[in-house]
Amino acid sequence: MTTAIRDAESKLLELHGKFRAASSLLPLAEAAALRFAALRYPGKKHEMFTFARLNELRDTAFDYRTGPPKAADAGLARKHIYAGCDKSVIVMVDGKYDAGLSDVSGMTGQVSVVPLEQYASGEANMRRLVADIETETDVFACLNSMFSGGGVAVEIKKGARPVAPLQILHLSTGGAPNIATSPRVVMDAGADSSVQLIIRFAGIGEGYFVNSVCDLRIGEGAAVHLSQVQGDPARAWHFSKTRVFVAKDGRFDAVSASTGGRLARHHWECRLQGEGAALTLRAASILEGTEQAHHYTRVHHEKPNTTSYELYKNMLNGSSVSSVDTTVTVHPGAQLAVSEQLINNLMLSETAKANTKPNLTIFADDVKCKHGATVGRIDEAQVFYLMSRGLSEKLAKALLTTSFAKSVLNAMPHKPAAEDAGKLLLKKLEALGIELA
Amino acid sequence: MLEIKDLHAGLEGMEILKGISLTLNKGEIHSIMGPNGHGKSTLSKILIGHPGFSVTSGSIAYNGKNLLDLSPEQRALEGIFLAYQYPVEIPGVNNAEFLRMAYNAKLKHQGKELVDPLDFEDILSAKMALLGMDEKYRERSVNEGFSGGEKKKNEILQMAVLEPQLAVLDEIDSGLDIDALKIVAEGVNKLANTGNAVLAITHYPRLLQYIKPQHVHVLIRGKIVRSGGYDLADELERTGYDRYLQS
Repeated sequence: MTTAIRDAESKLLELHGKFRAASSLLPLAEAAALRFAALRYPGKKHEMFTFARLNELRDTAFDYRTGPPKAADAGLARKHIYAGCDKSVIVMVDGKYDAGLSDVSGMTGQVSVVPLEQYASGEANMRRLVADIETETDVFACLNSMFSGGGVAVEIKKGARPVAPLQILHLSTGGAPNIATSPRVVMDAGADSSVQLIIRFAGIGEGYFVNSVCDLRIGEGAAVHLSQVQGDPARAWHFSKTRVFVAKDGRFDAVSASTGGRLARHHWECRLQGEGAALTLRAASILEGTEQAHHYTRVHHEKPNTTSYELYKNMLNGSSVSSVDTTVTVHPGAQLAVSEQLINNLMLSETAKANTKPNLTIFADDVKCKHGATVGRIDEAQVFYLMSRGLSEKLAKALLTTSFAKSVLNAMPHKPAAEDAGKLLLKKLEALGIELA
Repeated sequence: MLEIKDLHAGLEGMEILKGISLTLNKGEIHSIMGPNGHGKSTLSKILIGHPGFSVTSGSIAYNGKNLLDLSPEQRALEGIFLAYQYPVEIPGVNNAEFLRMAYNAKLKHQGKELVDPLDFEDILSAKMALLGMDEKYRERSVNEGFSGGEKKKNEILQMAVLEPQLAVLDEIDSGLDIDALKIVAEGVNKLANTGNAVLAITHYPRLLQYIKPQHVHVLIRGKIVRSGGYDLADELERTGYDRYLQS
């Protein structure tokens, strides 16, 4: 272990030592610090961070926002609240739940929203939070719990099927250099409920580090459709860990759009825990300059007749770096599991780097699992097809480039969210001189 | 409308077409027939300007212009349409949006006012109704996940929207069952008129029972070895290509 890593570790534990006295979730923070110390700060050879360049993050001294919430700019929040979500929005400012800016009056009786501290005051709930952190493998998720406070717990009532989507807006206000925030969301979707969830990350300022954790527990026969839009500024660090637990006949569908950043990392841990549980995960990113976006996904088929489908599309220019490291594990007895992993990379420059690592670990003998990955340039056969219908070569290439990402983004069911994600990602192509169709 | 004279062309230095001459006039339906691998699809690729194929000698005049001077998109804008044997899938590009872009590209070329999405909806609806096509063709990505038959129908829908002067149908019947073949052929018949011309390329006479070309040409080893009327297709149905291959 290098001195730099040891230094980073000690500083974070020392910081936690100062913070613990004020922690509103002390048992969780303590368990997280123990787990953090056991896992250690990751080095270059850490299996979970093979493709991410962590040095700059490690060597930056962050100001962890552990105090009371900062007064937020309502105008900034409004800018990022989607049409149709004004009465169904939870706003988190620098990782803290802001009840003043949040409004879930359109979901009364269907959804309850409480501060995480209130949720964790129930002994069983705190036990569950602690149990999760004790088996956590991601050191940054531990870091989130070491410093989290002011999070939010959401319950979708049994059988509730709200018409409007529920938006969770994570705002980073910047203002000072190197601010680190630790947003935490816990959501339980009751049996037979169905909800459309939109998570939007936005911020102003440079150099902040948002290190988010979100737990989604999807009950029997329930369905959650998540649209996640990571739109932090180019010089921000973004880490998000999403734990998903799907019960019998439950369903989780996710579409994730990532603009990347100095270092954006999305960790999905998905457990299909009941028979008939299903998930789809689609993710798109467009990167330029030295931006990085990494997807690290672990899908566990723990019961029979479970299905998973993953699709990743990365478009890379400049010296950007992407990675998709995904493993599907079919546990013993999880017969008739069906899984598919597909990773497509579209390279727009000679110096960009796309890493792909799809894996399968199978402990059952009657399953159907496949994976595939492609790395390439724009398909000339498609260009010619469009030209043979009268489109110019430039327009044909623009259409194909945008469509590469749109094939994922269009799967977002809430149109304003899909359009926002499209604008965020596709505006980068305009900067590259690709005329948008 | 189209005059091909002594055309020699090929792929990667290999000559495939060895002196083809052919004239198409407005209002005519021609068919090029022949076994696989004798140059039928090469001719269609040459007409549309595929960059992988090259012309070594001969000429193609289209409405008085030298077709070989025109880029693929210029040829399309001038009214040449190829219905592909294997239409490519384009995930993420909405079929209706793509058709509107192609339609507007043509209008722009003709110096006409472009149509907005709402007006184009009506134009597309009318064409889909004409061909009896399902709404799914409007919303789905271009050819993505389409069956072989659906892809061919989508080609005909594009042809209906773009109203070409010269439609080249490259093995539009391949991979189709009888019902799908009838639908596709009926679509072609509805679109053929006195102001345009159709060149149907096939190796099965079955398609021709529906679209009834006035002129049939047999293409063997890169040359048209015989031309005749619709009766020639009937004859080929009975005798096959063996006699031409042996000579």
